[in-house]
This record gives sequence, C-alpha cells and structure tokens, in this order.
Amino acid sequence: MQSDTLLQVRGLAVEFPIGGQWTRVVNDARLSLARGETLGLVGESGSGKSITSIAVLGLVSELGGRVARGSVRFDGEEVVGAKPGVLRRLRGQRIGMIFQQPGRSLNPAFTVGDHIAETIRRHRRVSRAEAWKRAVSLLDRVGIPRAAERADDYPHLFSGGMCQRVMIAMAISCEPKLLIADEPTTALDVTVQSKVLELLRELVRESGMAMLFISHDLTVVSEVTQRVAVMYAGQTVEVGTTRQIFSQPLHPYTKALLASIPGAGRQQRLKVIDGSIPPPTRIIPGCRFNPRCDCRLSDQCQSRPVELVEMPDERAVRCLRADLAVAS
Amino acid sequence: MTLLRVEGLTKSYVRKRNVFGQVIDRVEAVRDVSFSLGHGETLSIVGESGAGKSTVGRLILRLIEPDAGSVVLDGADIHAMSRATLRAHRCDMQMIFQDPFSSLDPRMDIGRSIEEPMLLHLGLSADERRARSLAVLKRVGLDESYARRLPSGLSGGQLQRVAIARALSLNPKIIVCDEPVAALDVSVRAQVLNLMSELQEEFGISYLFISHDLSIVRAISDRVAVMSKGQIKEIGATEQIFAEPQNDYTIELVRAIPAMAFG
Amino acid sequence: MRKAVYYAAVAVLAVVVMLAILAPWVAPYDPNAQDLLGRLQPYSAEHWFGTDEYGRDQLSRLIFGARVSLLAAVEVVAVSFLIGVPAGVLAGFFPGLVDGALSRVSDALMSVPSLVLALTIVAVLGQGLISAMFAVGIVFSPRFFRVARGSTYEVRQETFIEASFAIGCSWWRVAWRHVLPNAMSPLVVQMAVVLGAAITAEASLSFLGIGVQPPTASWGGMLASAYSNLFEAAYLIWAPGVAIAATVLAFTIIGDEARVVLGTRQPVGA
Repeated sequence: MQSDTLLQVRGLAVEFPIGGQWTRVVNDARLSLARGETLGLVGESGSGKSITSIAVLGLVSELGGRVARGSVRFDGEEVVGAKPGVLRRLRGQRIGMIFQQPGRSLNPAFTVGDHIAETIRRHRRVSRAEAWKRAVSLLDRVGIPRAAERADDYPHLFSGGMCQRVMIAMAISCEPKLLIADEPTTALDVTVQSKVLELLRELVRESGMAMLFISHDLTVVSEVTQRVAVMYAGQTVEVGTTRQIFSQPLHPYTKALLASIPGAGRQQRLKVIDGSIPPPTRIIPGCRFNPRCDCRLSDQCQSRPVELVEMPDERAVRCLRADLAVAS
Repeated sequence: MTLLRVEGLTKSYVRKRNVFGQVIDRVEAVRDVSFSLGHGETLSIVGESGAGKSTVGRLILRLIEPDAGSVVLDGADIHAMSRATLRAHRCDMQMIFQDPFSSLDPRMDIGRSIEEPMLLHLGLSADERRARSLAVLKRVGLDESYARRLPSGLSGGQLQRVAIARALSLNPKIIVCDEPVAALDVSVRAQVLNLMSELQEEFGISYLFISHDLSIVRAISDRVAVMSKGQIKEIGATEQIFAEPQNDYTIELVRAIPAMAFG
Repeated sequence: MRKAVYYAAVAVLAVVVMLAILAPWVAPYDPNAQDLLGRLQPYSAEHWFGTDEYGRDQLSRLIFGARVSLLAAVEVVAVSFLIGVPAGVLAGFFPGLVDGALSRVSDALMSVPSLVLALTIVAVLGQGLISAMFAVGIVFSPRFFRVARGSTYEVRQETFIEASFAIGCSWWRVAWRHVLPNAMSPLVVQMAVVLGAAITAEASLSFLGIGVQPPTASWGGMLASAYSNLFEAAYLIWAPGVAIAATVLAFTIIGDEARVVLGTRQPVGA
C-alpha cells in the first residue's frame, strides 16, 4: 500500500440478519482514498454505500451485522476485527462522520456547544473552559453567526442547514484525517445545500483532510469530488476519476444513471432504467445489473459472477462488455 | 380555457396564545396566492421547505380550510359548496403524496385501494369496478397479479404507480402531486415521471406539481410558480423563469442549482 | 420458554371453556342439589372437591361457575369496548372540545375506585349478574377509551388517512374502514387483559353478594361461602381460588403474547 493511501477497502462483504437469516447486503466493495482526496461513493438504496462507510468506522457489529469477508485498512491499521479500544480512538479523532438528517443526530437535551465540547474532551486532554472556547471558535468557523451566544442554544432552535453546520463542527473538532459525509445535503433545501457544500470544500482545502462523500445525487458529486466509486446492489461496479466517470462511463448502470439526469429544457420523455433494484435477499447468479441492462450478452453475463477488473491509475469496472480500450 | 383559477388564497396558523387563550402570534403559511391552470397543462410550484407549497395543494383540494380566497375548478367554487357537494366533486381533483410507503392503507390489498374511489362515487357493480381497477393497473405498468397483494411487499416506485392508478380511476381533471418522486430512487424517478407525462397526453390531465427539485421541474413543467414564505414571488413559462429570472429570490434559487461539472 | 408458557395458558383456557360449554354433561351432580346430611365433607372419591354448607358438590358448582365467569367476562368486555372505543375514536378524530369533554369524563370514571363505582352503578340498576357486569363494563371502559384515543390519534397522522379524505371518504368511512382496522392491535391486547380483570371483578362482586345471586353457582359465591366456613372447612377455598387465579393468569399471558405478536406489524421499507 502506498504511503499516501489513507483508506483502502478490499473485497468487503457485510451481512445483516434479515427475516431471521444472515443476508449479504454488501457483496464485494472496493475503494481506496489517498490523503487529502475527496472520493464520491455513489449509489441508490440497497447499493450498500452507507453500510460500507459504517464498516470503515468498525460499527457493523454494533448495528447487529457482521463482516463476512474482506479488509478495511485505515492509515496502516486494519479495522475489521480490531479491538474496541483501537476503534474508539479511530472514531471521532481520526475519522469524523456527518449524517443525512442533522436535526435527528443531535441530542435535544444538550446545547450545541456541549456537543462539540464533549467530543473534544473525549479525545483530547483539555480543560472544560478550553474545550468550550474551541467549540465556539469551531462554530464560528462553520459559519454560525454570533457563535458565542448560539453555543448555548439547544438543537431545536437551529434550522436544518445550521444543524448540519454544527454536525460538521463536531466532526472536525479533533482534526480528523478522514471525514465521512453520508448524504449530508440531501435533506436540505437547494440554497442551503450549496452553502454547506461550499463550507465542506473550504474545510477540506484548509485542513488537507480526505473526504468520503456518499450521495445518490450525481450532480452534487460531480461538483465536490476528485474520484468516484459507483455501487450497485452491494457491489462496487465502477471506479475512476470524476472526469472519467462523467465523460466516459464504462458500466451500463453508470451510463444509465447519468442519462437519467434531467437535462436543461422541457423534455418529452426522460431516459429510463427499466426494472428496479434487487433486494439483498434475491440471489442473482451472474451480473447483478443484468436483469435491467440493455445489453443482450445474456449467457456470459448471467452464468457466473462478474469480477471487478482493475486497470492502471485506479480505474476499475465490473462488466464483461465494457470497452476497456476506451479506458486506457 | 382555464381549468383552475385560484385567487387570494390565504391561510395562517396560530403559533402562540397567551394565558387567556388569545392569539398573540400567527404564522402565515400561505399569503394571497393567485394563479391559474389550463387544461392538460403542468404547473409546478417550487420553493424551499416551509414556503407553503404543500399547504397550497391541500387548500385547493380543500383538505384544509382557507382563511380567505377562492378556488374555482371548472366553474365550480370549491370553498363555497357544502361538504356533500364537495365530496361529489372529488372525482375531478385528486392527489398523489410524497411518501409512497404510507399513502396506501396497509391493511387493504392494492385492488381494493384502487376500487375505493369508484365505490364512493360511481354507481358500478363489483365486477365492473374490478374490471376497471385491473385495467388501470395495467395502464400504469403493473401486472394484474398486483391487485391481490398488500402494499408491504411493493417497492417505492411500484407503490407510487398504484397511487397514480387510484387517482386515475375517477378520470380526474386535475391531479395535485406533492413531491411525488422525492422519496424514490433516482433510477426509478424517470419511470414514474414518464408515466405521468403519458397519462397527461392520453387523458388531458392537468398537474399541479409541487417540488423542491428544480431540475425535475424544469424538465416536466409548462409553467412554474416560485414560492417563498407563503407568497408567490414569480410565475411564468418554465424556460423564462430559469433562463431569465426576474425576482431576487428566484435568481438566488436558480443560481444555487448544482451544475454538472463534466459531460 | 415464552412459547411454552403461552401454550400452557391456551390449554388452561381451552379446558375452562370446554367445561363451561359441556357443564350439564360433565358435572357429576346438580350444582344446586342439597344434601344436608353430607355437609362440609372434605375431598373424597364421591366429591372430588368436597361439599359446602348445604352439601352441594363443589366440583359441579365449579364447573357451572365457569359458565358464569366466562359469560360475565364476555359481557364486561363487550360493554366496555362498545362504550370506550367509539368514544376514543371520536376523541382521537376531533381534538379540541370533543376530546376535552370525553377525556374529562373518562378521567372522572378512572378516579373513582373501581369497586366503589361498580357498587354505585349496581345500586342504581338493581342487583343481578347482568346489571353487575354492566357496571363493571362501565368501570373498564376508560381503558378502551384511552387506547382507542391514542391509537386513533396516531393512525390519523398517516398519509393514507389524508389520502382517504382526498378520494372522498366521509369521516365515518375513514374511521370505520381505515382507522379502526389499523388501530385494532392494541385494542385486542386490551380485550385479553380486560377479560382476565373482568373475572376478578365478577368474583369480587359475587363475593360481596352483589353480583350473582345465590343459589346460582359462581366462583365468587363459592369463595364467599368458603369464607364463612373458614374454621370448619378451609379446603373450600382452594377450588374457586385456584380457578380464578389460573383463568385470569391465562388471559393475561395470552394478552402479553398478543402484544408481542401484534406489536411489530409495520413492514420495513427499502
């Protein structure tokens, strides 16, 4: 592993009990992230993107699941199977995370300042006063006006966008090396969204931290990331730089996703992907996208599982008919 | 020929009462909203959360009572009529809701849910109702076998199609769509939106499309009304609004739309 | 383990119900047949559970008493359900004055000790099993009121209720066809629990001489005569006491199981 690779996920498989049986919700996830880089993890429901990020934090067993296979190496240390003490130091201090519904991630019984100060004191040996001072300066940094007064307010007095800024302040309070943002702007209005994205970009630039940006919104991903990994039904199906993914997509799912984004102007019909995402309980012998794919390479595609083919420069695709000549 | 004319619609909610129960603070959800909608047209109402768009939709259907204003659908004043007459007029105006997973009664099978409006308004026999519900299911792209299933087994996209089928079963003139695809996966949204376009062409239905997603609105609307804090800030043809926004708020909104960086 | 207890409870209940139905054919003696020479006999081969102060066979009285208890329980549940649930649904639908008024009535009923309330109502309606159980039904109705009100309030917020109004349903139809079926689970649990409580209530009133009138056999009445003959024939307590306890426990366990089974009814979306 190169010394500037911060995070590497290989062959990850995660299972959760569904209907009484262990079901694989992530089948083969692969991604790698260099220091200071922003990687977009794109997928819809059932893609496994959120679970993959949970696996990076080593929280799978806390949520009732188990890692069946694979490895997650963060900054040289293996996360899968690591001791609880190691994991605790990882979270909050070296990896920060923000979630989709900011209002619901904050404890209504504590002030906003308390949240941040507590996070700081958990990982650094500082006095309460010192932690509070730092909390206020963080709130100011993330753009909360009158930070010193607002630090004493409770979460319910903050709007969605403001709550998300508070979450960001908490997540970066211990200067983590990696920030995981799981659909951070999906629940926010469009004007608020653009401001929060702007904030994230600034913070990344200033601190040099890496960011794993998880979203189903391709347009937003294209604005924020340098590289993208696309997931479908529990597997990584394509990886590449943002430019590559958007201008020369290789996997039929990636192509279809891009085509279904409404373009400018009134359209008669939007491009459609027929069918729907298979639930994790459905066993599909070959390529998991095949039932919806518009190619008809049926026999080959249906008979055995398709491997993720990795090419130079971290380009990868899981498709038998991808024109690999285009990639190189 | 205007199908729907809305004038001066206003609705406010009580936010605070004092010790004596008197109202001391109100929040105006909808303030003096007026617009019109033609036959077979799609008018979108866009705005951020709290702008009052959903409230407007519900006021038009008279699911909520307004404080002031009028809603005239095809010549009939919706708010002046008695409750009984209103129920009869429900045939003409239907609604599709945002959350497909909770907009159908979980204890009723799909067929019964679709037949319910027919049961209430049309004097059809049980067989006729059944035949119509199967026909409309087919029209929205779902197989007959779905009729006996319960909502719990279906995906979001399928459920939204059922909701459309239910709304369609009465041949309404207008369907109010409250963020109908917001809760659906990206790859499924186009399916549902295309279906809605097809139905509009085939049956001449008008849509009042409420959404906060500007890119979808741009792709499917004839006209757009931009709302903020209960008022309509700007209203006009879609391309006009997006290409040359006049109002400050609209300008800010359009500017905030994320643009595809490549490709 | 929980399942085993549940099956045991069902078995007990099944036995009680069967005995009640088949009483005339199963009971060895006429429950009211007196035998003054054979008074206060302890357990024997002829009289498995002995005889009381009139020489009446206890086993037969126990079996016929089961009828009384079960009928009483059903009557109580029916009355309290029919009073409490419609009121609760109305209160859940119309928060404000309607809810306020109904809730205050319910609170008033609940604030009076149940036995006192029942006695008061019986004093007005007259003695006898029917009026006694009607009284108990009124006493229990606030339970159904609260559960129905809470459930209605919760279901009312669901989108499909608004959708039902949008397609043109009347209040009545929405309440009857859409709200009630979805609010039933907690009500079913209450029914099971109230069945058990009703048996205790009947026994209490009959013990006090208010409910079932002698010479009709009832478990409460049997306890009363056991009490008055405590020093001579203490064993008389066992049969009715255990019968009451076992039946009430069985209903409660079934109610608990119903709560567990019906509790998770919401399917998980994608």
